[in-house]
Amino acid sequence: MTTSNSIPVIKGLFAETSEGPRLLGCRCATCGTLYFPKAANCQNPDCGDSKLEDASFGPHGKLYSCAVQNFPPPPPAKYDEPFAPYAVGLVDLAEGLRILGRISTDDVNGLKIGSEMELVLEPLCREDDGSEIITWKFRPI
Amino acid sequence: MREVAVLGVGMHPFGKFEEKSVTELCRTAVEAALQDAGMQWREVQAVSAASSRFSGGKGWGLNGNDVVEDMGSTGIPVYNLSAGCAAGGNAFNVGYALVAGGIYDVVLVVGGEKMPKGFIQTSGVEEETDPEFRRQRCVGVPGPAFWAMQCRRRMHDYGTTEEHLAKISVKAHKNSVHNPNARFRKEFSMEEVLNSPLVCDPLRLYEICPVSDGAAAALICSADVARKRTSNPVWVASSCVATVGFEGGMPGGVAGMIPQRKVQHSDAAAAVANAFDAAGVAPGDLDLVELQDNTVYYELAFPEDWGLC
Repeated sequence: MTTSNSIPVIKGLFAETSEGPRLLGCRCATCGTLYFPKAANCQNPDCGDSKLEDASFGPHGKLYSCAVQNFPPPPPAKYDEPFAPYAVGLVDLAEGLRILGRISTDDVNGLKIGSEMELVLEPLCREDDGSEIITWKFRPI
Repeated sequence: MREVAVLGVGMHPFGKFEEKSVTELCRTAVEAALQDAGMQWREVQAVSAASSRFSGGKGWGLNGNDVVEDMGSTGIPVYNLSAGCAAGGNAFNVGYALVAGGIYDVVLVVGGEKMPKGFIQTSGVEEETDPEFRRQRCVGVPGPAFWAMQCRRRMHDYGTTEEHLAKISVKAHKNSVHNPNARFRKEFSMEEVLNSPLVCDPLRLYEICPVSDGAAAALICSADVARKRTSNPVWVASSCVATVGFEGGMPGGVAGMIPQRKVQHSDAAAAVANAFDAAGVAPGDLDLVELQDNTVYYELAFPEDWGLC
């Protein structure tokens, strides 16, 4: 899916592993709270001892909700011209995180809440120099 | 804590006023509030000023110092607040606390803003550690798209229909017809609302707040000052502010733990619950509710969250 001319939208948020794409976050060993992206400190006010360790998330989840962005979004969002409406969603990952992401689909109006989704790493847009900006998305299975 | 009264209020109508500065909009609101209160500018001891984002000369928000300079440079303290859509309420709460706590006897609360057209840009920095930058750059979810996701979930859970949503807009516009401060003083039909363009499906153009210019002001004061001015003061029963709780979903970022219980809009729900407690009243005691609805969805969700229905 990604080529040598691909650049992550932000470095360190996701990786292509031997087992497929994963989101890179962390987990508090004390209270079990999960974070994506990595947090500097455990944000659970009832957690007495922030002990964050690396954790990765994905690829399986369910669509909690979704919407269509029917008009071009303002900066710093990116999109290819001419603008085409895209779907965004909240996906409940099996690990217990609810994640915001674009939905990779040609049928933005056909999405169903509760559908099984999988994490994918796909182009967000193409820069003027031809390079592709890669972000995380979710695709209906 | 001391009792706090609202002595006067004023507004500049909502709309688009390209020829006016935000300071001019505020002056209209402040002068109306002073007149309503029967007060002189010199009597104001402090200002709590609000806009969605503090301008500081860089943005489209308000710098309350400019309002003081414009009204007359009395040298009084100005507390500049920026709190997105909650800015006006935040400024009122700070003014309330300053009077209730005995720091000042007369405080002006003022909010004003001139906003660019279109979707509100929520992150103005190229900074990868900024949660809002990440949210917009990595995904691209302007406010209405996020509201639309909450709305879509409600439609799934409770069977809310497009017609239900449109009815809210029709009702709200009906209320605007005789309001001189409303931006659109006309009725909209169900057909007009349902035929307006989808901005973020399922939300349509006439179901989302228009991006407007405007200003509002309130003069609040201690009981001693109020009783000298009027025999029938309007008392503030309570004023509370809250932020999103740990279990409230996604505080400003791209992910959060899946809540163990239903906790939509935990910030608003907590502020309202605390306000009920502080005032010693229950939802059934209310005669009138004015709530902020960025979009029609909230006018359905909030009253349920707050136990009003």
